[in-house]
Amino acid sequence: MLPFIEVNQVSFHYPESSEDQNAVQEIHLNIESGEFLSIIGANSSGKSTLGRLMNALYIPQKGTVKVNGMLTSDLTCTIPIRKSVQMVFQNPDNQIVATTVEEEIAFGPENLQLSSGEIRQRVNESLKLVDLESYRLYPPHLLSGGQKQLLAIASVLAMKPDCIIFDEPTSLLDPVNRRMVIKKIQELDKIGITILYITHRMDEVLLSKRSVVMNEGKIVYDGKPTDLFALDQEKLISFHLYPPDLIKTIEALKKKGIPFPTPITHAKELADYLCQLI
Amino acid sequence: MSININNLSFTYDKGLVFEKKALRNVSFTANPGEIIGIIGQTGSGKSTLIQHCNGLISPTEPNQVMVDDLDLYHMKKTISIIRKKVGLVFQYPEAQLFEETVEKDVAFGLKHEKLSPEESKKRVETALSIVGLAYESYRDKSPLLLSGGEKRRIALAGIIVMNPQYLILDEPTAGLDPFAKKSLLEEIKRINRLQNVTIIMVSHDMDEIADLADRIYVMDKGAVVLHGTPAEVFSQYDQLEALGLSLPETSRLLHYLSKTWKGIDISVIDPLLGADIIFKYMQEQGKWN
Repeated sequence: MLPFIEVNQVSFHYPESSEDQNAVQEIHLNIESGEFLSIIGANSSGKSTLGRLMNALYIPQKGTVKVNGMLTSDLTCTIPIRKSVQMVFQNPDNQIVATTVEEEIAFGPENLQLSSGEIRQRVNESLKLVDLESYRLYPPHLLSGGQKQLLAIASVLAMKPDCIIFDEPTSLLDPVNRRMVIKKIQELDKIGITILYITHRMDEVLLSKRSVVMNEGKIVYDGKPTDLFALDQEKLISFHLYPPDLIKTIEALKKKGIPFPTPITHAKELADYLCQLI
Repeated sequence: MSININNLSFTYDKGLVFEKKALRNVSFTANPGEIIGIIGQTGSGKSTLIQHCNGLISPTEPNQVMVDDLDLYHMKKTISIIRKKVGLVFQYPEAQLFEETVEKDVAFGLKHEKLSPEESKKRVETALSIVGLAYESYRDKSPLLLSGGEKRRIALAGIIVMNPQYLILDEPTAGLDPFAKKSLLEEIKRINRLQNVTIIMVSHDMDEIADLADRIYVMDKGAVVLHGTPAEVFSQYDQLEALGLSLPETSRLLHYLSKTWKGIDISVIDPLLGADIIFKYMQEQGKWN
């Protein structure tokens, strides 16, 4: 079977920068349908650019991107690609346009010229998926940050996408809202939606089954997130990844001679492991 | 000389359907030179509280919000002084960048100060150097074409250029990568130490609050429910969990360990000190020598 998204030797530079200043460079990446992939790396390492290349917001100057076999450079495919691959951004305020929750979700389907019955059904389904039914007639600006992000997710779900690219969806949220949004994203993973998750948070990387690290426009790591954390600290730092506190504690304990045969990624796991040692 | 909030309550849209009680009897002090952390869930009243500190929202009674003995209830008299004393950096401040060049953007707030071009240039240069950007290499750049971390710093410089005595930061590192985050936090520390600016910082990131703050206020449903030093606040594990806040990783780890390892010190927040405490405990048990 063909991969769902094929990024083939892609380079891209922004119109305002010169040709040798590629935002992403010679990217090669295949994503299977139903995968949950995290993309990490420093600011301006090319993560968001890569995301935007995958739903035809940007067209690469070199190489090709195919979504479901459709080339993003083929303008007749732009609409089906955008329908199939939706995006949710960091700040939901940037994509909320309507005056009530219900109208916001209906905005996309209305533009597909669907029947009003179909639109209503999609709005209802999407509201249900993100648990915002009781906020149907609420003005979006009065929702909490997490609820706004759920609304943004509901709006893209109403387009019945195959894949959603999340560009740091939780970076503005408090822990409760963050957990709420992450839980939803995990549910979307379970119903088979392909998920590309751009994040700075190491703990969120662990939600994915595969992790891609970007550095200066290139992919420098592609593999399991637990293997990534098992790399040595200098390597992580060279990727501009700052090791999370838990990893720092583990590394310090390793230096003192405590063995860590398997990677540990949660405080609870570490506590259980240490208790077992004595 | 400090910011003092006494028993402040505030309700949005009073008398309307959307009426929302945002602050309930909040008392709060920021003393000169301190770094104060404010934590709490979304909707807990953090932003409403900080917007009272520079007069974006005015108190409904006298003596509720005092900045250096100026009462914000008498807004007309005090507001122009307050706005200079208290700099407020919003969430995602880069959204308010608009000028053609970095220099013009940072200098925008100085327009009312009637400075000579040389003085203005000097102030901009200093403000940029405080946020770690070289004046000569950035002055003519368009602020809109810089990276997220650089934009954030320029927006911050635009406030610092006003020489505030108090600097309020609403989620200053949200959305920055771990490296940019670390260096911005260093700069905040530097502003505090070198310029003796009092910092009030709202954050969801417990690790950074633990690292930076001298004192922490925890808010829930519009009220202050806990306050104290980071060690005092973060040792209240169960209460913080119940409030839906997560603890710094090291506090969390030590808390889990303390269930089995009786008597282990749980007040440590630094990950390396945490490792030392764990190792010492293991040695004391006679297992690792």
